[in-house]
Amino acid sequence: MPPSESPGSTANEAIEILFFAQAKEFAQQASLRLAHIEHETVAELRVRVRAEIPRLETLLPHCMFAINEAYANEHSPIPAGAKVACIPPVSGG
Amino acid sequence: MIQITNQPIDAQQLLEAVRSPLAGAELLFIGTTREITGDRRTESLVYECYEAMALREMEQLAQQASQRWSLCGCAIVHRVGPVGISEASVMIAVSSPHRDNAFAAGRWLIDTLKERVPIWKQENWADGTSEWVHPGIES
Repeated sequence: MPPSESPGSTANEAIEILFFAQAKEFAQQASLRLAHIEHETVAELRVRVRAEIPRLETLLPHCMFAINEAYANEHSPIPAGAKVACIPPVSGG
Repeated sequence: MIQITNQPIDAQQLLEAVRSPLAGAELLFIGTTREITGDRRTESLVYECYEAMALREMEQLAQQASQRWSLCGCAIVHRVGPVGISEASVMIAVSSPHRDNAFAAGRWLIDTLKERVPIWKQENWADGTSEWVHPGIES
């Protein structure tokens, strides 16, 4: 069990956060697993991600979050086992 | 036809995908990789995407445009990975009974794709530096 998971959290409940583009470079990793916290919102998760990966501090305020492949807002709760994505401003096209 | 590919995009395939006997207009938008931006020269571009979500977003855009402008067909293909100068990074084809709706839908689709779809480009400048393009953020 990774150190970031609290006792009692199972692998199924853990959430995964994906990073892309500059966020992936700053984080120096493509994803991060964190324990699921009941009723945690996107806004609260941002704080946790910043604490885990301080290098993301300047970029995080510019990022949108998605939950299970759909854009979420700051009040959206993170379900157990969610696949979360940290999405810096997009530049496709 | 909604696709993300690491291969060159074939315009003919998109046009065939939107062909319809109800259509009086077919419109094809091609986004290409620009070599010169202001006074800087690009050596190459690399696109990265969050594929599962990008496909979902592109499907939604196609559905919304199809309803709003009563399209006969709508196809969106985006390329990822390295894309050479002047090659197509994205193509959008729409067909509709009359041209006004095709132009309006095509315009909205590329504008909205650039705002919403989780795809990013990295510019590799001729001076050897490279950077991710994140609109609104000073690099």
